[in-house]
Amino acid sequence: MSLSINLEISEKIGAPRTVFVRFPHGAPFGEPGAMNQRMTVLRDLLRTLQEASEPGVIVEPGYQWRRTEYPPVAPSSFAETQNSKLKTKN
Amino acid sequence: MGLMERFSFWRRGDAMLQSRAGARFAEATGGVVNRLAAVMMTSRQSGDVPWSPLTKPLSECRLAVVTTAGLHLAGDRPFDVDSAQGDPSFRSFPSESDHADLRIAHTHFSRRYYDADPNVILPLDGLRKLADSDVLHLAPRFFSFGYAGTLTRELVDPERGTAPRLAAELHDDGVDLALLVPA
Repeated sequence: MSLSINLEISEKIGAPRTVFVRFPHGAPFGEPGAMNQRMTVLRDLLRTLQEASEPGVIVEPGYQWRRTEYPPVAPSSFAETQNSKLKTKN
Repeated sequence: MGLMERFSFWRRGDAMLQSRAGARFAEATGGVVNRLAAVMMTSRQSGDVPWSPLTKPLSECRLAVVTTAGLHLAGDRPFDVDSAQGDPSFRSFPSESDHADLRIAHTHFSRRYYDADPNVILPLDGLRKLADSDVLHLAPRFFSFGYAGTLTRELVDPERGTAPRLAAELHDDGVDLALLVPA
């Protein structure tokens, strides 16, 4: 599974499972000190891993750099795939 | 020696990116840079997208991180960051390493975020929290490439490429999940 900060390249490469975030180069897991943010990205990656049923899926959660608020993420939620609101691009 | 090496092209660009203004400029222009980088890729990679279904619960899986940030142990051989062509080699380091044990070599992005909190590239704090909570297991080693540049063949060649060699090492470590992280 791949975290991506460049959608166009990810579409060309074709990784089995990808989560795309619009974060700048040098900060693929988000802002410094933002534990909730990177736990959210990790959760989305692992949910995509468990939910994706075909190769080449790209998920875009739609987070905005410096503008999205991230509630705490419980470790127990990482294995939950029901009620996931992940948006798939293809 | 080419012009890019002679004039230390990457190091000069790197110096600009490490300033606050340089980082903000990179944030503002990142979309354009990403599109240019994608255009420079001539075509979609050939062949079908590989696929390995998840066959066991996450809690029984062993995860390894593979980053392209140019991370390496402080005492390990550094990446060649001055080459115009790039350096397709990779390094490994124990997943139990602390951030203080590691150095970052890549020079094509602002390291201001990493310097403030290295977890923005290698989220050791989050991954260890997951392992401590029995969500998953961490593999014994994590891996990093440097900057591969134009040396695609040296990277992906099935016989001699560094990427297939890295995949073999993941297999040797019993890795179930490879998390690929760009920088």
